[in-house]
Amino acid sequence: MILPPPFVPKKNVFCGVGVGRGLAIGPVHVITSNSRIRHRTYEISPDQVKPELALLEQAIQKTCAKFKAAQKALPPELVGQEGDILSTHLMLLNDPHLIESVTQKIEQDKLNAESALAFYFNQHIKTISAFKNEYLKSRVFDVETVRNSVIATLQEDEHEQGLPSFYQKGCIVAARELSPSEVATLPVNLVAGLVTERGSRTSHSSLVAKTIGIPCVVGVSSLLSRLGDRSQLILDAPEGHVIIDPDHDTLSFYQKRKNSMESDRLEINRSAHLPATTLDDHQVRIMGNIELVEELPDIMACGGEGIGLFRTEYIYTMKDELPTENELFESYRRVVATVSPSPVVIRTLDLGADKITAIKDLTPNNHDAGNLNQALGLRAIRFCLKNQDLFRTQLRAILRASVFGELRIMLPMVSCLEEIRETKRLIFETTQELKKEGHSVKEKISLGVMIEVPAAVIIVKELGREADFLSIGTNDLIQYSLALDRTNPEVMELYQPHHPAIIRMIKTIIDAGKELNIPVSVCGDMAAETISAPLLVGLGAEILSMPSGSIPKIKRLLRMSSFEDLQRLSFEVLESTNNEESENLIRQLFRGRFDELT
Amino acid sequence: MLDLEIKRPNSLSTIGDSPASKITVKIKNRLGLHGRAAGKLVTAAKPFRSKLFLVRDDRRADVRSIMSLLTLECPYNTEVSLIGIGEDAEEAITVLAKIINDRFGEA
Repeated sequence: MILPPPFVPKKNVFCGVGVGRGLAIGPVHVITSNSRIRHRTYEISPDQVKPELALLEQAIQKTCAKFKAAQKALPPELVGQEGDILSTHLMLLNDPHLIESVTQKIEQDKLNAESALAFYFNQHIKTISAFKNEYLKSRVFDVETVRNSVIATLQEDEHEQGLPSFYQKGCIVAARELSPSEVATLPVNLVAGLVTERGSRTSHSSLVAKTIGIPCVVGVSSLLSRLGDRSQLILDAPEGHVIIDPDHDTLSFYQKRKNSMESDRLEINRSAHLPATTLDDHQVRIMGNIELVEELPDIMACGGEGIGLFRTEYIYTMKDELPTENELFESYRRVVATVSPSPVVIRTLDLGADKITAIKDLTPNNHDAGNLNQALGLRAIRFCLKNQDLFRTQLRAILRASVFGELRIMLPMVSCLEEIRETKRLIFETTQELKKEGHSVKEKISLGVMIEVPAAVIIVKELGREADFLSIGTNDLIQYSLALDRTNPEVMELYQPHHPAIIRMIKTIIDAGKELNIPVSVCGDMAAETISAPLLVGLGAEILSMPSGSIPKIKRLLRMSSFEDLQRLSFEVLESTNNEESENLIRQLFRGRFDELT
Repeated sequence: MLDLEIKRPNSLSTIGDSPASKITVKIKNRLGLHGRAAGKLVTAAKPFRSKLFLVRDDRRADVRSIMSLLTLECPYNTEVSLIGIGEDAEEAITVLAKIINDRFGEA
């Protein structure tokens, strides 16, 4: 096993949001609204009628099962509500007239199931397309989706019997947007990957895409206009990259990476439930980062030992109204109770007014929402302490959820002592309030401080004395320390996690934790990177928290390391003079032993 | 197949030997009879044994078939009749009419 060099293809790389895992390499198959799926029409002999009817029945049942599985991937409170188009699609599929009319067509006209189905749906599509009412007319999309889904399922089965199909085996489907039903019924024995122009990490189609087991990249703007009929694509789901028509070097790099990922993944996932204990018996706790309750099963399946970072921003950005205390409580309770007895670290709101839908237009602090750098503005704990009504609501919900398991509170972007003290006062007051109202609140709740501002590193001991644990947010720490805006492409190359300044700051934080006898965790991107995680452990981090996808490989990497080696590595890296030197030292230690240092 | 004389619906009391009932309502939700709304009617019709139809002008849809409801085109303010034929017809169309009058729980 040889370590691949860090490789950044320069041309034809487009960024989106990666959903699910893995890489796909293959020819593109563009789907537009007119090209969605072609059906084949042929006559069948009388003795083929019965098997053809069986095929129809089977395809309908299988499509139903796929729709139902997709429904499970969506938030449960959605079912039956606005936006739940899967329920409508299921009903269209189970329509008593469908089976009756298609069966008749097969029996009387001796047509294959695929074309009889297409005939049935197209007839109704024609009717709806002629509607005068624009909205109802636009819903012809639902009928088209169901037609495409059943036909795709039929073709998936027929491919197994050696019949030609609409999709070339191993192709990567590219589309502007697919509905959850279409994603659910992509024939995964033929389609190797999916890329769409629209969609986000939490859009319904993305949630479904995560469950079908092929790599997907969504939200790649103006993708289709860049694609030719014969384009080759590389999809890198972990990175969220799409590469169009790669050159020879790029292709061979990704081919190697894909092969090693596939063989490693089997082994890595098999051992995900084992603890991250080094060869010399040093144990590191590996926890998960989540934003949505729906991500919990993934964390559990990947061997996460609790939640080290529960981000609470999502609900504030999604609605036109501020979330109510009960809404917040319900989501916190679900997470805490599900993960119990393992701990859940809830990070209080890490946003500024500019990102909160309900107040972004009315806040008096809006004057800095223009050109000024939001990263340096009124956000996170600063914002919460200036908007105490909103903060109290969140704290009340968190405190009420505390009795359902092992809950901890973590404050983001702390830069001075007063912020912790003021929050403690608020926690004390709201606890008294809640008790008076008859709610129960756990007696002792751990309060942690995120160290992600350089000033906080310098006064980390003072902050640590007021806290029960420290957590290093590496992304912000790097951005603030190296004075660079992560969203500015001009300075991207200066974003160096292994810059000596960063490594030494992390060391300072971890040492302070040891001196004060409080745990130190790392919950930024560095914890999830194979190149950084061993170094963090060598520096003395006791807990690493990361997205589910990284947990199995980081656990495995640590299991095959010795803590002594990692400590020695950390001393060497602390002496290094630049990012590259640090990274070379890390790669050297693992050379020939861990292929997937990607 | 039955042949409804829907031009004189008020005289409707029996069709053949079966009791028949009819209620006329207006679609009052803003979006009209779309997928999820139609789905609510299909679900509500399930426990009943009567034949149930939604009639608009001279066309009718089987309330148990979402496709037939959706191809009827009933936008906001369309007047439709619910017709039930069978033992529990009256009860069934009362339930269906209530769902429509409640605007399918929408705006």
